Amino acid sequence: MADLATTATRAVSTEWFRCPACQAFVYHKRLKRNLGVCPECNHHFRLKLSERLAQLLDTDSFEERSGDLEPLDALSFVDSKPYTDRIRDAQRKTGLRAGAVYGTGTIDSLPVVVAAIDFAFIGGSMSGAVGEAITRAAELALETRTPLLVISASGGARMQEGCISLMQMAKTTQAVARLAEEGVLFMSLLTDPTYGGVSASYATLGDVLISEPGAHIGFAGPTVIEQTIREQLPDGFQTAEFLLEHGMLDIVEPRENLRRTIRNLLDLHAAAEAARQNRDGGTAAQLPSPEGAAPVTDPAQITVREPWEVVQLARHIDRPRMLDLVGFTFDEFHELRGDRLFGEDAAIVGGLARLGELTVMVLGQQKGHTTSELMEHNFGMPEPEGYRKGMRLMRYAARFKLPLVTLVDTPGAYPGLGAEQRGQSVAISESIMLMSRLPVPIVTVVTGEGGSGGALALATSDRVLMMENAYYSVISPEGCSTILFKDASAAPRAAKVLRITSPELLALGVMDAIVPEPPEGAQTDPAASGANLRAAIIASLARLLQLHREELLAQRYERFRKFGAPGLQPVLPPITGET
Amino acid sequence: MSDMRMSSTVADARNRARRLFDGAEFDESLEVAERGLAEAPDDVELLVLAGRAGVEAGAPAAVDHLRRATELAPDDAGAWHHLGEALAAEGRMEEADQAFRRTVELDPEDQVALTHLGHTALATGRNEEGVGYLARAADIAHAFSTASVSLVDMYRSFGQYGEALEHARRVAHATADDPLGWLDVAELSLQVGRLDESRTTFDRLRELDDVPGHEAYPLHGMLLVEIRRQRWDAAEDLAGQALTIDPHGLGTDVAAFTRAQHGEAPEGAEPPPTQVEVEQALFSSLADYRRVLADSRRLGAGDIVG
Ligand SMILES: [Zn+2]
Repeated sequence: MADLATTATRAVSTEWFRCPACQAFVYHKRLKRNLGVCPECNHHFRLKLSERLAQLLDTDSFEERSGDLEPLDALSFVDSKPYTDRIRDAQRKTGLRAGAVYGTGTIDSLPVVVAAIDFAFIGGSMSGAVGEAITRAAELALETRTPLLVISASGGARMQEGCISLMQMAKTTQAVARLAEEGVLFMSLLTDPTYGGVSASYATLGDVLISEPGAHIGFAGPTVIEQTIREQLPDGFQTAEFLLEHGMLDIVEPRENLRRTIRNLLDLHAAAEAARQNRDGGTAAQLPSPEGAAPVTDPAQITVREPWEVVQLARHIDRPRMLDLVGFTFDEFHELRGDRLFGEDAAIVGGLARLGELTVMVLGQQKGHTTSELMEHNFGMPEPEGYRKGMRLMRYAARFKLPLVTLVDTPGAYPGLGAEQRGQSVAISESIMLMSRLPVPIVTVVTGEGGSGGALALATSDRVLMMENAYYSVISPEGCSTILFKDASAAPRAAKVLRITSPELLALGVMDAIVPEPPEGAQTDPAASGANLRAAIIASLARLLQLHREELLAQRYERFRKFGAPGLQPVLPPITGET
Repeated sequence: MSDMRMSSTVADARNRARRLFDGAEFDESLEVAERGLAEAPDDVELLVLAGRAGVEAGAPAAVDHLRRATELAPDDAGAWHHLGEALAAEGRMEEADQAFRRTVELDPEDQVALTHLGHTALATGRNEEGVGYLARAADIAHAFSTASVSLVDMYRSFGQYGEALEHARRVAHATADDPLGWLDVAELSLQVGRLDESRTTFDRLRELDDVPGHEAYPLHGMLLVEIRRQRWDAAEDLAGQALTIDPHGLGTDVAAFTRAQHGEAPEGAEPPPTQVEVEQALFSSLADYRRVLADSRRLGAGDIVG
């Protein structure tokens, strides 16, 4: 880059910039200190490639490898001027040779292969050279098993390169597909703007898709879908926030947090890679030593409670919920979002977590405690999008051989019209199927309500545990009461006959162990409950991590094969006394 | 303090701090200057060097060093100028405004300080005063200056399109690669009725802006010009071009409108949009265009590095 940089002219040299969003005049040194974010309104100004790399990478760590890359005029293209002139103009203007660079660097000393597009070079359009930089970066990442970070900013295809530009979509995609096959992390940072041939190829195929507030991302460019006079586009159309809400991104993070976010992902994956070099599925040695009470496997050791009382405890507004428990159980948690299909469903929360030195994928239904939290998470009742996000993250776990931990707490899958239209049944069945053959250890704990298929969709696992005062049922006690007893008020009786409590399910073999709770229930001491949960998960993983993939899948098959099988299915004695 | 009496360590600190500053090693420059200040706390030159290096390094002490320099040398325009920049970098606009005001009192021809003063006045809500300083700065600069860039926006917001156009032309010619400069010229010449200049400039813009996805914007500008000129054939031709890029968007409405000007019946059941509606939509498209170009303007300027 250096030789051209010296001859580059500056399009504008100015000390004060007017913020395009709030119209404030901002002194350039203030903007610089604020990483190019408007101090008045938080508008994220576009960054030059050099600035972006400097913000993300350790100082002086970037070693460029793309020095020989240059756009190729394969079509000998001429419009109002020869394409070669256009290239020369862009090179003079940006000081770059190819419009994209790639190389190696570090983020907080963690190695990463980086490729980045410069929007100032013919709108960051996808030329053969841009595709080459990204592809070579992916190949280098694969060869060295180093995580790949690609930073995109593009208006779309490079028309002057015709079908050669189009082919870059396939070329880059197949390169990142090989990373997915081999379990090498690919993080895609989509910056303002990312459109067309870039957004419709490698850029949206990262294991993790990251963007900044307000960044514009879409397929058709902004003017192409310009609203007609009588049509209104929704607010925030094609912004990162809009995409996040529609399940298309994992993370939208203010610029000041980006380096830390990427660093954390690299760190978690470095631990996973270390485990992979050692043995499939992580190593038990990476687990911390448990400190809570050990899980219980003898039903006689569980305090017997009226089933209806258990239901009330499981639903208690103060009972620790998924995210509370994640906080107590894991040493770190980084949420990943989106089903990449339709929407982000907050009823299921998932992400990467650290348990001692072991990186795991965590998934679960989240309810919350306040009315607004309950509304935000739809009372823990997932839509199909929630399950599809879950499946995406399960595949992520399989790709990187990360053990999966699921925490179940749902009244059931959401039974709405939209959920039916978008295939609630299919989402649940596919989730059960995916879990049944997922080639990594899976531990599930039913922590509150285990509502039927909506719960099982996250619970087809190697070890299924439940917390002492959780319940697990094929139907809500209220529903059963109405259907079988023709009387909604007989729910306590239904709760009893459905055999939904932890000692009963342990005796039936549906549960493998019970996580003890404080005497008056988990809500009285969430931290102690969390410690017990942590101990139970550690104990389960420690055993499962000893198994080879084939043993693991065979045992999981047998685990569910036995239910209802004559001679294998334990039978409970009749309930004595009045039901 | 005379050179004779100046300790060699202080002279050495000045030289080294300056050399490091020139080599963009700001942290090191600040450190050397501050060590020199431990020996000679009232050395104005060292204070200014420490302040300037501190501004670049993002050190909070920068303002204190420069403030001290202005106390020791109240007639040193340079020290006031740098103090103003240090304050502006911290977002302390009122204080920066005072520092630049003092700079300009001491050196009325300091065009850069006048530009800063104009902006600090704008940032503190004194728009007319700010524009006055910027106009003075632009006069001193003759051709292009940062002041002109902001004057285009300010005159436009005052509705003084003629003045805005004059500065827009300066900016566009000086920064020929930047499409935003030409968009200003094209829009402002349309506003003042210089339709030929507007049309030529939109044509030029179409040639200049090679960002994929921007193709329809200059067409929308040309359409506005032709509609204003009531050249319905030209407008219909442009609407047809817009339709090829933009089959579901504004092009549809504009084509329906231009066809109606020829007395053709609308294709659908709906009546064609009115001229006011069409112009509003086209202007709003140009406003979007302005936003996306403004977002890219910084890419051509100095680095922002964290
Ligand atoms: Zn702003």
